[in-house]
This record gives sequence, C-alpha cells and structure tokens, in this order.
Amino acid sequence: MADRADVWQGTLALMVLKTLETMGPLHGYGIARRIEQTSGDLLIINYGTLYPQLLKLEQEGSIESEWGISDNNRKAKFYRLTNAGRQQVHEETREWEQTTAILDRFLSPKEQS
Amino acid sequence: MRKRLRVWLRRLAGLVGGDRRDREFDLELDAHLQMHIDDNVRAGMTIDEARRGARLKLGGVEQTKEQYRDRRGVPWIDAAFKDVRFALRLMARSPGFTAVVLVTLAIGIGANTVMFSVVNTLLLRPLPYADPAQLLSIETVGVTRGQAEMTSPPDFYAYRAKNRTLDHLEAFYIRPFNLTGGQDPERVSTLIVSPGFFSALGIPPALGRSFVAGDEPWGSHRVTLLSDGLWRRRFGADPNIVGQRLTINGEPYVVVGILPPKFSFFSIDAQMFVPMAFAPDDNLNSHSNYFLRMIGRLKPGVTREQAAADLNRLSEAIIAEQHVNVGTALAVTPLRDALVRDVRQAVLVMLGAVGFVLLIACANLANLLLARAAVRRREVAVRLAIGATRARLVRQFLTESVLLAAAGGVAGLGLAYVSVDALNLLSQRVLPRSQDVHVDPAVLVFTFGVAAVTGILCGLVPALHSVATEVTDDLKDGTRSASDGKARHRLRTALVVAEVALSLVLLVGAGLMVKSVYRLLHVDAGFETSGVLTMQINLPPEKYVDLALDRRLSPLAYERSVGFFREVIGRVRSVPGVRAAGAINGLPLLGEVWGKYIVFYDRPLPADMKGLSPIQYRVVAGDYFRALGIRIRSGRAFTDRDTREAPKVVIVNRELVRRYWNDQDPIGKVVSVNPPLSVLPKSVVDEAIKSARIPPDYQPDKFTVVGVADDVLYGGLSRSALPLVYAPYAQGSEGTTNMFLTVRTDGEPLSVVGAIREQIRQVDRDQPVASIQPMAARVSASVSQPRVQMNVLGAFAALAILLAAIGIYGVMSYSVTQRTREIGIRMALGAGRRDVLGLVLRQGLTMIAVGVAVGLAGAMLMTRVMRTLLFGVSTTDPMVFVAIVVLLSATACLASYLPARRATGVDPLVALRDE
Repeated sequence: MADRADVWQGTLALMVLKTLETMGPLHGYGIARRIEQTSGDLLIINYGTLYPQLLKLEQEGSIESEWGISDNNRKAKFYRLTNAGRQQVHEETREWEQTTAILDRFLSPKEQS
Repeated sequence: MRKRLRVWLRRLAGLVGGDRRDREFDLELDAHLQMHIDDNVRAGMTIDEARRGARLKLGGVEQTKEQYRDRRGVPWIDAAFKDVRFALRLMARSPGFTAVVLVTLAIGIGANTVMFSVVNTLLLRPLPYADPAQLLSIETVGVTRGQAEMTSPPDFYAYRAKNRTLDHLEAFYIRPFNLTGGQDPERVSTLIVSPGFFSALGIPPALGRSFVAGDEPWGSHRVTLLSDGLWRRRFGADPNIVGQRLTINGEPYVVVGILPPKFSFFSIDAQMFVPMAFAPDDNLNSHSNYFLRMIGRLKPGVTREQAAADLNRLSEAIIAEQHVNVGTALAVTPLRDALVRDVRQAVLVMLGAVGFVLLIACANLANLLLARAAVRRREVAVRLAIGATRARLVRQFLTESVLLAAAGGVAGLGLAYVSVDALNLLSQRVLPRSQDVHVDPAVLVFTFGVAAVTGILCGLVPALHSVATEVTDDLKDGTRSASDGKARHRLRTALVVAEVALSLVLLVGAGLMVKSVYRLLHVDAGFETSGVLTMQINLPPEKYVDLALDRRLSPLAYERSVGFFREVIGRVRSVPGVRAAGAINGLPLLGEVWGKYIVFYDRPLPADMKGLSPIQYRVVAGDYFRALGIRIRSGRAFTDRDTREAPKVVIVNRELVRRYWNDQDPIGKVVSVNPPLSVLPKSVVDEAIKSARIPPDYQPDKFTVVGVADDVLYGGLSRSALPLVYAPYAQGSEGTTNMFLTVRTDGEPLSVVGAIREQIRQVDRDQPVASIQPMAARVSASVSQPRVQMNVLGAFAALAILLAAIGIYGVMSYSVTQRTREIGIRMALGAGRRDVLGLVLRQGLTMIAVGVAVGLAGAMLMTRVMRTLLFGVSTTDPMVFVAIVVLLSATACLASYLPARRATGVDPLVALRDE
C-alpha cells in the first residue's frame, strides 16, 4: 500500500492548499470538514491524518500558522497560504490537469478517428 | 531539493523545545475536538455521542499525537535523547555506584592514555625530520673492541666517498667545548658533525646558513651553529650574533647560523655544533681511534638491505686491505629503532601492564553493571510486559554503560593530561624524546575508542542477560530468592577470578622490578659510593697540549696538562675536609670509554692484530684509588714518584689477571698497551714511518706491573668488569685533557666545592669546572631507568590490586545481600556467627584461590618478556612470587572478610520478614 499512501499524501496536500486558497485562513478542523464537503463525501478520511500533513506543509514553507479565535469563540490554530504556497497551488493544479488530460486520451481511445 | 533541506532543518530544530511543541499540539487537538463536538451537538447528538463521534473521526488521539511527534523531530534522535536523560537520572539516583564506576574507569582509561601517548611518540609517530622513513643508523658491530658501535674517521670517509646507495652519510660525536670571552667561561656540550648532517635530517637553520662541504677542510672549519636555547640564554636572542666571532677552546669561531627551537637529536643535549675536521697529521683521524657514530639517508628506491650490502662490501675491503677492524661488520637499522632500542622493551612491558589495569577496570565495571542489572530485574520484566521491545531495552542499557564509559573516558583524559606532564618531569633522562610526549589527537581518538568499546562490551553482557530472562519468572519471584541468577552469579565470580589473576601477574612484575633495582643498588661496584665528590675538568688543548709534539706522538706533548693536574691535586689535598684527591679520565659507571690492546712479553708475540688481547685503559693522577676507596689487592698504588722520568709502571685489575694470567701473580711482569711494529700490518707501518709519525725503530713503551686493583664496574652497575690497565697520567704515552677530579671528603662532599673551585681558579682563572656531583648521585642516576620502570610498574600494580579488592568486595557484598534470607534461615535454625562467617568466607576464598592459581600460571609465562629488564633476578624468582601471593591473598581476604562480617550481623527475624 506504500505508493498509494504517497499518492494520497500528495493529493491530500494539494487539497489542503486549494482549500486554503479558496477559503482563506482556516483551522485544522475547518480544513478537514471542507475537504470532506468538497469531495462530495466521496472521500472519507481520518481527521487525524491531516495534522502531520499540515505540519509537513508548514515545514516545507507552503503554509504558515497562527493562533486565533474561531467562529464560536474558541482559541484555535489557523493556517494560511504563503506566497510560495500560492505558487505551488497554481503549478500543481496545472500539472494535475495535464496529467488527467493525457490519461484521458489513454483510457478513452474512442476519441481517435 | 531546497524544500527537503528546509524540511530537515525544521525537523532538527524541532528536536529542541519538543515538550513545548507537544503541549501546543495538545491544545490544537483539544480545540479541534471541541469544535467537532460543538458541531455534533448542534446537529442533534447528545453530548456523549458527540464526544465519541468526534474522537472516532479523529482516528485515535494518542496515535495522532505520536504521528505528529514523529514528524516534528527526528524520531531516533528523540529516542536516544530520552535514553540519555533516563540514564543520567539513574546515575544521579545512585551516586555511590556512579562514583565508583567513574573512578575505576578514569584510572583504567587514564593510565592507558598516558602509556599510549608514550608509545605513540616513541614507536609510532614519525621522527621530526624530513622523510624519516629513509633515515638510517649505521653502526660498527663486533666483539674485538670494548666499544662496539663506534667508527673511525678514515672508515667513515671511505664509506662516504665510495657508497652507491646513500644520498647522505654523516658522522657525529659529542665533546664538551669551552666557550669563553665576554661572559663567564662556559663548558658547552658540542655536537661535532660532518657538514651534510643537517641537510641529511632535513633541518634548515632558523637564521643564517647551515654547514656546507667547504666547511670541512682544516682551516675552514672554524664555524659554528648555535642551538636556539644557547642563543636565547647566552646571547639574548640577538639576531646580529650571526657573523660574529666567538672564542671556542681558545680559538676564534664564526657563528654562521642558529638552529630552530624544536630541534632535537636522540636525547643528546648539545648546544653548539661545529663541522668535523682534522688537522693533516691528527692522530684522531686514524684507525687507532673509534669514536664516530653515523647516520645515513637512503637514495630513493633503494632498500635498507641494499645499503647494508653496499656498506659491508666497503667495510670488508678495508679489513682485507688494511688489516684493521678485524671481526667487525656494519649494521644498518632504521634511525627510529636505534633511538628507542634501549627503551622499546620497557615501554612494551609497560603497555602490557597498563592493558592489564584496563582489563581489571573493565571487569569491575562489568561486575557493577551485572549487580545493577540484577537489582532491576523486576523493572525490566514490567517494561517487557507492557510492550517495550527487547531491542529497545538493550539499547537503553547500552546507553547507560556507554555514557558511564564516556564520562570515565573524559575523567581519564583529564587524569592523563596531568600525568603526562608529571611523567615528562620524572623521566627526563630516561625516555628519549620525552619533551615530545604529549596528548595528541591520535591519543584522543584512542581514548574514546577504548571508552566506547569498554562501555559497549561491559554493558552488552548484563544487558543481554537481563532481557533474556523469562518475564513471568521475574514478575513472580521475590527480589531475594536464593536461587535466582545462578548464571549471573557464575559470571560475576568468573570476572573476579580474572581480576585476581591479572592483578597477580602485574604484582609479580612489579615485585621483580623492585628486587632488580635493589640488586642493582647493592651490587659491589668496587668502590666507595659515599663521601666522594667528583667534577669534570676539560682543559682546552690549545692551551695545555703542544700540538706539534702530539702529532709526532711525543710523550712531552702533554707536559702542561700533567703539570696542571699535579698542581691542582696538590692544592686540593690541602683543603680542610679533604682526605684524598686524585683524577681519572673515565669515571666508574660512565662507560668503557677507552679500548686498547695489551701486549705481553712473557709469552710469544702474536703474529698479527687478530691475536692481540683487548683491554680497557685509564690514566690516573694523584691518589685516585684512595679517593674512590678502591682496594689494591697486591703490590702498590701509584705515588708522586711515578713521574715521566721514572720507570714506567702500570696497575692492572683482577679481571685482567684472571683472564690473561690465569690468576697468577703478575707483579713484575712487563707489558705494553700499544702493539709493536711486528704485529701491525705492513702498509700501516710503512705509511706511519713515511709520514714521520713514528721513527723506523719505534718500540712501544714497556710498563712494569706494580699492583693489582679490585675490579670496578666502569661500564655500569649491570655490566661485568672488563680487563683494565691503569697508567699514571704522567707516564701515559697517549694523553688526554679531559679528566674527572675525585675527592674523598670528611663529611658532606658538596661542602668542599667552593674551596676546591678556588684552588682551581688560582691555577687557571679561565678554566671552567663542570658536572660537580657526589659519586653517590652518579650511582643513583645510573639506575634511574630501571627505577622509573619500577615506579611505573609499581604504580600500575597498586592500581590493579586496589581495583581487584574493590571488585572482590563488591561481589561478596552483593552475594551477602542476596543470601540474607538464606542466612536468616540458617541462623534461625541454630547456626552461630562463626558458621555464617565460614559459609560466606568459603565462597570468597574459593574465588581468590582459583584466581591466585590461574594468576601464578600466567605470571610464570608472562614474566619471561621482562627478562631483559631485570638484573640479578630470574623471571621466576620464588621469593618474589611467594611474597606477592601472600600480599594479594591477604588483601583479597580482607576484602571478602568485611562483607562476611556484615553477614554475621544479620538479624534472622528481620531477614525472614523481609521480602
């Protein structure tokens, strides 16, 4: 299951970043909830797996964190995209779109004529 | 790539302040769960369902925390840190144990570091010269002369000119020279070298120039190089001294350069250096005189064997053509070997000894760790039960022992630094290059290597042992079961036996050295060692010798020297406190310095040089024999009436009578100390007559034997006496200007120094006097090498016995604690104190007995390597062995008695109650 986990890590990272791009600064719980929603509940993840991922992204410099107050007045740690992170989102999005486009051609050859 | 680097850096940073970050994450998780719970409640769940749901969705709080922690830092470093922290806490909790271990290790590792520094400097580190592997020592070896290692100048010049395998062949010898003018006259030890000497060693001068070939011819030779020390001390480090003139032995010399500060050659303490040169008719430059030592540098690509073959080819040619040096050959050895030859054996023995000490220290450490491991059995069992892996536990034990070993290593290193300085001070004259011995990086690496290996080895066995136990057994058992850890107990006992055996071997070695030094100091040297003052007077030849007459071998050449000493001795006799005064050219114990051949006229003359009998020769003045307390066995001593005009007489020693006269009375027999012409090779005779050195009808002086003196050990306390001829200074046909004054005093020898110097000053104001010492001090100095060895070995042996005693005490003590319950039962059943004592002691004594037996066997085998270091003592000397066995057994018994006595103090009620 190793490579699956790696791919998983990569896609999860991109999902996190995209979520932050769309939603702005958000805490871990919020990010997890949002990812579930966006995937139309097709994706069921353990919320706990998010945190090591957030740490990794922070270590890589794609996001940064800050303690703040949440909607219901609780102290929570908020994450937000850095400039490098923003760039990463754009690049990786484009890569994914390319990848899916190529795969599309392979997997549905009836387009050729 | 940059991203990965950044990640790793952040992770390394994450090692620091880990606790704080973990707490921060706890808060984050708390907040997460709270928010989720809130949402769940809002969605309609009850509070309990909300909480459970949130936790489930998170996927395990602890797991998440652990994953986070793993990613935050570097997990294995984290674990290692934790182990270290735990180990430190453990060490702090039992300070006594920790202290004992640290001291044990510090001693073991420290001693080894010092010894290794010495070995490193002497045997491993290259000599401080350019390309030292190419440097050689070349010596003449053979048995026909008293001095086996010196070469004559003509031989040296021949070897130098004709060899094909050496880039350099240089000669050197050392003489005291008088430096006068300006300041106080000073006698300076001077190394006289062939001009290429310094370039052979690759030592450029610090100032000025080195010697060149042009400095060699007689007349151009009056140049000198000064040592850095002399330059600073006498000339105030004045750079303008280069090019200036100095007065050496009454002649003007020009200073051409100063040597670098760190220059040293063998342990020769020369302060001045002059080129080797001989006047055209100088007798020194002949086959009658052997006093040069040689070094060489191999041509690139040439082996030592090739050089040896080449040089011996030349040597054999000289023997064949000139009929001299018969029976000799040249030995070519690496320079370093020649340097350390004398001490190599001793140093290796010391290294072995100190290795033993380390082994004993390690055994102690292992024992202590084993004991501790036994105590922690329960803890280990519990931890295994709750899921720690055995590997993890072993790793933790190892961390502990490595940490202890590292701490011990640091302490040992500190000890070593201090000791090396002390060692330098103590062994100045004994170890060559002692000023070079210091703790250096190689030694540091060695020390920590030893510490690491010690830690791992000594920790591994107890560690593996601990985790190999059955968990259930340990959880069940009380901590004082009588039958537990049988194997562990056997191991500890074995370790103690080993310690006792090793200590015994060391102690025997030390004991043999002690006896050897004692023997040396009590050898009958043939003279009185106390109440005698000696001092060295070297007259400058230009002032006291008629050099022209000397070249013609005329006995009148030394009239002025004879006169000087006659007058000085006469004056010294009248100094209050002086009982007798005399002089000799070579003091006892300083070496066999003058070898010649004796010719007997009561038997047929030998046909050639091969048939001549070698002897040692000395010239004496005044009451030498009475001053040194040398007994005259038969006949008489020399008197003031034995002048140059009087009939020529000699005194021989008993060894000569024994060897060459079969112990018959030699009084009245006639001898010569120079061979007659018929014995010399024809070519030499023709050459000498042609150059007018000797008349065609030359006859050597004939001497009548008038006395037989007791044997005196001129060669040293451990050498036996050689056959020796004494001639009166005034009558000797070859002179010398270097004499030792010997004065017998009432009371303290040094008390008359001032008066004697005054008398000498009145005869010659400019004459320096040197090496003023009581004879007793010289005797003591001559045994300084074996004495240092004895001290060092003794120190190691003392350490060993101390460590062994600690080890025995520890094992016995622990064993008693283990058996408290058993003892309590026995006492409750009626055993008395004596019975308990016997029970416990029996265990200890068995250990000791086995250890002593093994040690004895080992000692008999191993002391064989010490054979060359001993004098007058066999390597299996029974007295020493018995004494050491008694000493060690007594110490060991005491060490086991103390805990045994504690056993008798056990209160059976308390013991039985305790669990």
